[in-house]
Amino acid sequence: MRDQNLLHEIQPEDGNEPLLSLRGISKYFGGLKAVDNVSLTIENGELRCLIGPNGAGKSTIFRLITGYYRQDSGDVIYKAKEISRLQPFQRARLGLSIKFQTPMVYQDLTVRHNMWIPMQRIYKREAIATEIDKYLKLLGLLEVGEQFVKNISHGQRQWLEIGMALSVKPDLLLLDEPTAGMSLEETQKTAQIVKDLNRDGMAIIVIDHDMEFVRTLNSKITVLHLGKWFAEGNLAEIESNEEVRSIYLGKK
Amino acid sequence: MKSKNIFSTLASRLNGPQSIGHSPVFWTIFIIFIVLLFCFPLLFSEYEVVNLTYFFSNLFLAMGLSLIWGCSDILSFGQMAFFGLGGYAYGIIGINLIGAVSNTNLAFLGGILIPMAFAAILGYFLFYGRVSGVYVTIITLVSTLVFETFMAQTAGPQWAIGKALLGGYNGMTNIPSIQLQIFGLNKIFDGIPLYYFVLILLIAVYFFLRYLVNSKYGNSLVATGSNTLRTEMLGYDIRLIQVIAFAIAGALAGLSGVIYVAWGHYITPSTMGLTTAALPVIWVAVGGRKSILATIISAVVLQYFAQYLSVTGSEYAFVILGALLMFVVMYVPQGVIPPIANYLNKIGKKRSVGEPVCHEEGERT
Repeated sequence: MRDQNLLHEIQPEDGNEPLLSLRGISKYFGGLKAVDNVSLTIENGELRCLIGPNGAGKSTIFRLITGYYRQDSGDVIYKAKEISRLQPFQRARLGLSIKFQTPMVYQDLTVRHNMWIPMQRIYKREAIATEIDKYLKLLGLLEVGEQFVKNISHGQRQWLEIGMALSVKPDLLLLDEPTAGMSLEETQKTAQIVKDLNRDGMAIIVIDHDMEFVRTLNSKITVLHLGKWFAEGNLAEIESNEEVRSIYLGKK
Repeated sequence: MKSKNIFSTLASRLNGPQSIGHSPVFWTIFIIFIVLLFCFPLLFSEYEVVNLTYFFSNLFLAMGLSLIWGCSDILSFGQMAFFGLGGYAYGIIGINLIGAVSNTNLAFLGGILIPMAFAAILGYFLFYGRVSGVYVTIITLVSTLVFETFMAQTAGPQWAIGKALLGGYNGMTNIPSIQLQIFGLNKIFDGIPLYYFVLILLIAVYFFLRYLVNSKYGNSLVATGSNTLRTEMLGYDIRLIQVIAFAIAGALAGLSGVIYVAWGHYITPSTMGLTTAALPVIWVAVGGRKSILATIISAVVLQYFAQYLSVTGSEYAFVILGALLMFVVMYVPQGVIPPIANYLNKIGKKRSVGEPVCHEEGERT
């Protein structure tokens, strides 16, 4: 399995440019190798799950893609452009959008006002209110629209942030544990939304610990372990992989 | 929007989640108040009018602080430095040019634009350097004190710019009144005309800021203050957003400085001392930093209060103001006025139909 990593790196350029391609990126924090020489390619319109035990470097990879961190080595190529030198907001304007691990929403604003912020960047003032309605309806937040975010539930905040990340109509959506703190029913609904969005052509990378959720998405899966690329394949391949099972169970 | 006429569009642009009060009742009271303020010189002595002009002169600075602190969580102790810079700039340009051109047009503009430029430069280093939170507060406080210390040692004839003597701790004197020459009219604003001049400016700036905070820019400024990371990841250049707000606040502080020196005809470095640097923060915090109107009300009331205390012989005016600040920070952190406004809103709640829905909820405090 490990040899595939090498194959990745020497993959020849063909005419069909991938949407995102990480080439041998590393990020160190002091002596800790949070991300160690990872390569990852996401095609246009692809749905990908990123899994791995705690400390595998999944969230750090998201932060390297969005520009919160800058990698110590390697390249981040998005839409055939090396974006390492771009500020986070410039990357966002290229169609990158993220939902963070813990809900990053505007606590002291109302739900509607939260949605207003991303939407005013792309919609005309007159059109925003109706667009907000559409998203709140999709996410089941219509009743709490006038509530301040600090007064809504954790699950609702998760929905809200997914909605905010979605509302800018991204080309690549990064979802960091979208179902954390959600009930089974909510998780299923999230899976449905993710699949619908992907069917409409949005490329999505999902980090999640909930294997049931990952199973429902039924996409290609990349496994990370201790900052390194570990395995890649479809659901059946990953589930039958002894090495992957052993790292999840903590065996040597 | 229901009706498409210009007036309602204009009105809707002034309303929004960043402003308390947009009901017909609010506007009625607002207009009555403005009328009363215009009648003030008819009802009170010239001493009272001149006194109120002085209080009003500080409001531009307070509104600017409310903009950056209330909307965007940037607590600056540097506003008094920009105030002083505006005052000195107006004085230096005014003293040198008044004899030649018999107006202070250039001094007036310089007194606003020079502190604005300084604020933009300081803001550039702060926000493009990604300094945030308490460090901004510390750096701006130090800037104020450095400027005060520098101006304090400018005694002696070698510290003169043209005809203007900086004067060290004794200050700069003989600063001319505001004398504007526009469209062939040449008018000196002193006494009661200065009061009207400041009042009109005050109303204009209030409406400008009210429009600004409820605009697209204002929403992104509020978003930046609420959660910088989220805002940046939504595609906003938070550095630029903050620098713009900081520069506007600097310009407003400069305007306050200009009016102050034109009113009193002198300025000393003590206007930029530690105590005076803290005063605007107290006005804004006590009133409610997230509302510009609350800031205005509290700044005027507290200035009257402080003056009353010192006139009646109490030496403890600052101690009482300090205690008030501590009380507010601990028990009503959102300020005294927004809870009152919320209460009044609840009594006379009348929802406007057809407005942008996000903007219906006007009582964000």
